[in-house]
This record gives sequence, C-alpha cells and structure tokens, in this order.
Amino acid sequence: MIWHSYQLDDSILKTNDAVSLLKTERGLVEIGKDGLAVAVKLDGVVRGYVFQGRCKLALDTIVETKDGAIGKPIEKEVKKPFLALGTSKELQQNLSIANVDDLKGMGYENSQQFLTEARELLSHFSRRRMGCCDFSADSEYSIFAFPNDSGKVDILLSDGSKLVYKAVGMVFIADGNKTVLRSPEHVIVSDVGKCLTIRT
Amino acid sequence: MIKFIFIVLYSIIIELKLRNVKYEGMHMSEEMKEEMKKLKEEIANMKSQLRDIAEPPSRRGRGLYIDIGSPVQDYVQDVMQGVAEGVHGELERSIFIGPRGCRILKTAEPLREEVEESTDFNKVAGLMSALGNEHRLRILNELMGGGKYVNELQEKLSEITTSTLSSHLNVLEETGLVVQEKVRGRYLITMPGRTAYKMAMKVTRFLGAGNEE
Repeated sequence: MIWHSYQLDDSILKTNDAVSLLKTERGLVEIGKDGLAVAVKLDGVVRGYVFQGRCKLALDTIVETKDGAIGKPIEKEVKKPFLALGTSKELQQNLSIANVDDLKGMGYENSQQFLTEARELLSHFSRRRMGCCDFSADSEYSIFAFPNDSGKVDILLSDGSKLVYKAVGMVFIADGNKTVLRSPEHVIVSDVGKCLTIRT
Repeated sequence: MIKFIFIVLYSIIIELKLRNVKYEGMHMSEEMKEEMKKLKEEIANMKSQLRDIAEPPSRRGRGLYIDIGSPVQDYVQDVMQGVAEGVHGELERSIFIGPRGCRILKTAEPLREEVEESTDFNKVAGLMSALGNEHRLRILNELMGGGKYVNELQEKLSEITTSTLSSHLNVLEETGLVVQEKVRGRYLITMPGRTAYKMAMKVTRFLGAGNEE
C-alpha cells in the first residue's frame, strides 16, 4: 500500500447555493449558500473540500429492535470548519471563487486565516489517517471530519446505504437493516428481528 | 521365661482392648443407624404432609388446580407473560453468546429498595399524563406495528387535525415514549414507550375484567 498525504489548494471558493454533501436513508450533511470551501488534493487531484458555513448535520443513529427503538437522532449545526472527502460533481458545479466580502461574511479578515484553520483540521485528520482511499469525483465513498468540543474530530463514513459515525462516547454503524450502536451504557447489535444488547 | 510370660500377657491385653474398641464401634454405629432411621422416617412424614397441603390426595396425579376465577387467571397469565419477557430481556441484556460460548457480563437491575428510593414521582406523573389521552394511546398503538410517517398516522387518526396530531407527537416525544428520525422523519416507539403502552393495556384489561364482575 502506498501512503499519500492530502494537500490544500490555495484558492478559496464559495458555494453558490445550498448543496447536499451527503444524503442517504440515515444521514444528511448540507452546506448552505455562501459557505467557504478550499479544495483538498491528493496527487494533484481534488478529493474533497474543507468547508466553513451554515452546515446542517442530521443522522438517524437509532437502532430498531422488537422491544422498541433505542438511541437518539443527531441533529446539529456545524459551526467550525469541517472536512469532506469524496464529494460529488454536483458540488463542484456549485462552487465559484470567493472574494473578501465572502470571507468577511464568515468572520475571516483574509484568506490566510481560513487556510490556516483548514490546514490545522487537515493535519489533525491526517495525523493517523494518511490518504489511502481512492476518492474519485463520482465515488460513492465519502468521509467527513467534524471538529468537536473535546478538541478531536467526529468521523462520518458513508458508502451508499452503509454508514459509520464515530463521535465522543458513541459509535454507530448501519448497513441496511443491520445496525450497531455503542454508547457508554451498552452495545446494541440489531439485525432484522434479532437483537443483542450488551451492557458495558 | 518371665519376659515371655510378660509379652504373652501384654499381647492378650492389647487383643482384648482392640476387641473392646471394635465392639464399642459396632455399638455406636448401631445407635447412629437407629437415629438415622428415625430421622428418615420423620423427613418422609414431613414430605408427605407438605404434599398433602400443596396437592390434595383427590387431585394427585392430575396437576395443581386452583379455581381463582377467569379475570384473575387472565391477569396472572399476563403477569407471568410479563415475567417471562422480563427474564428473556434480562438474559438478552446480561448474557453474551459468542462463537466461544456464553458469557455472563454483569448482574442487571439494582435492588428493589434502591429503585423505589430513587423514584421521581413527578416524572412518573408526567409519563402517566402523556399516556392519559385516547389519541396518544392510539398513536402508540399504531407505532407498535413499526415506524410511521406523519401522513400515515394522520390517515389512521383522521378525526383530529394535523396540528393536534403534531402536538400529541410532541408530548410523546418529550416524555421519551416516541422518537422521530431526523433524516427520514418517521416516528418510532421507543423501548420505554412500548413497555408503558403494554403496561397500560394490561392494567386496563385487568380493571375492565374486574368491573364486569
């Protein structure tokens, strides 16, 4: 396996319209209009972006069992810059060059401020995860890294109907009807009609 | 010669002592046997008395039958079903079945006294209040069959407006009896919701059956 490292582009872009970065049965990531973006490249090819803007994250981290549903959905606004790898062509068509006003609208004095934050996030993400996945423009794979309040990043992976979310104190895995939820209290494994709960 | 006589006499004395011990041993053993026999008889007698109390001689061989009336029987059946479900759930929670066999993970619930001490009656009242509405119970009943979208629930509860339905769903969600998916938007009944609904139905059935009498 050849290990690569991601690099940031120099130009700052902005979203012309609200775009869905992820839309599956269980997960939704949306970036609003006029959000900032900087391309993340691997071997000179754009593999994703670092965004900053009005971002909505919604995840149905719920396990359905025959005894009732367990877990709570996640719905929050991401206020810090976040990383999205493996994004679609639709997004690329919705991006244009950002100007100073766009940067100021997001609270940055200049492009370097945003680039510094983006670089910090990328370096945080890449610390243990050197690029080894092939994220082509039409790839269904996508990885998101959202900075959390504990100074770490929450990771969201998606591949079609498959979804993995790892945050502080929880891990959620879904593959069709099969789901696994690990919380500080228990681990729940659920398949169609079968459920195993393990108290931790 | 004197030495020989002494040795013979000494061996005779030892022989006699041993015989005495053997005799005493046999004597003690007989006593114990007798005692054991008496005890066994007493135990057998007590067992017989106990059997007569639990199972009258007339019914012996046909199983235990106590006529306590149909409603109570139904209630007992429900309770036993609940207990069975509880045991099953507890086993499910506490036992991990892996490729290398079963493993008991932890003891489950706190003691009954601890549960009662930590009961927040205000919370209980809130839960009862959430259950205390016909439409909300009907919503729970619909959700017992699986997750549903608002429009599906609206179809089932056509006599109430969308805003009223939404208000009921909010109450159920606030009390944790239902949960709404944020992406698909379906409403699902939670584990506590299912338990609360079942309990409400059981108590109502029991009280209803009692009133009919």
